[in-house]
Amino acid sequence: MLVAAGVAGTLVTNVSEISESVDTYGSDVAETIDTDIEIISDPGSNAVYNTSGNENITLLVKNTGAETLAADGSGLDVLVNGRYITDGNLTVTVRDTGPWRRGVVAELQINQKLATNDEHRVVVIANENREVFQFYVP
Amino acid sequence: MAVLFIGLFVAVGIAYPTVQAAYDERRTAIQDRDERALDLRNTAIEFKNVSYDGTELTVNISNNGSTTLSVQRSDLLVNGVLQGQRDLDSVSVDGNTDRKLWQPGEVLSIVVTPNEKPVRVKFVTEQGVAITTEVT
Repeated sequence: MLVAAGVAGTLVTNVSEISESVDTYGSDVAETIDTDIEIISDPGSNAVYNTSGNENITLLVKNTGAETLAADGSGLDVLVNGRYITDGNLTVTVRDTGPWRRGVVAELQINQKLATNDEHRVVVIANENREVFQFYVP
Repeated sequence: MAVLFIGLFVAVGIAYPTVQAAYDERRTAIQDRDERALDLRNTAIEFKNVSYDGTELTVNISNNGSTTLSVQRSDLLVNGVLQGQRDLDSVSVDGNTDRKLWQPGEVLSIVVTPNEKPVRVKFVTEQGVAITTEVT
């Protein structure tokens, strides 16, 4: 009787915990599926690197999904040529201020010096959505 | 024995609604994504003409697809620089500047005064469909 009660109690507690985790996981999966971004910068122009002489990379990222992303860019991970860019070297400004909704473009300023006469690769990741941008710096 | 069964029922009672809700959320997200993908496939735009008269750049784009596009959620890049909505001199659909919807078969006309001589123009829709051209 006591053993049965103990087993039942453990069963209910564990299922409760697993249930909570399934709930969080379900929301995370839905968020990942709803998120979509596109890098719309024009690689053929010279507005990508060193535009005002300060050796920064300027990328335009458009939110093409259904999920509103964080306006300060805290949900983004950026890699330049495989190297992770820390928060201090990354500035995200959403165009026309306000939340970064579907259809809105955000400007990413990445403080990273690049070698000239070479091809470079930037990867922007938002909620497991990877976008790759390759360009040549003359 | 009965206690075990009661425990089992309570456990199923806790687990089932949560699992069902998670499954539903995921299914809705996948359906939404499929709708966006279909929208993307049905979108087609083309530059009708792009001209620069020394001061103003006029860009005419026709909607050749089957989706209605949003004027405000589309973006224009001149020489790789994004032109904000406030920087544009005029935006009109088939000559009407109050329009916010751009239907299939209509032409969107944007007039902007660029800071430097425009060489490349890129236009991006809400879904991310983009077209690029050089200015003659």
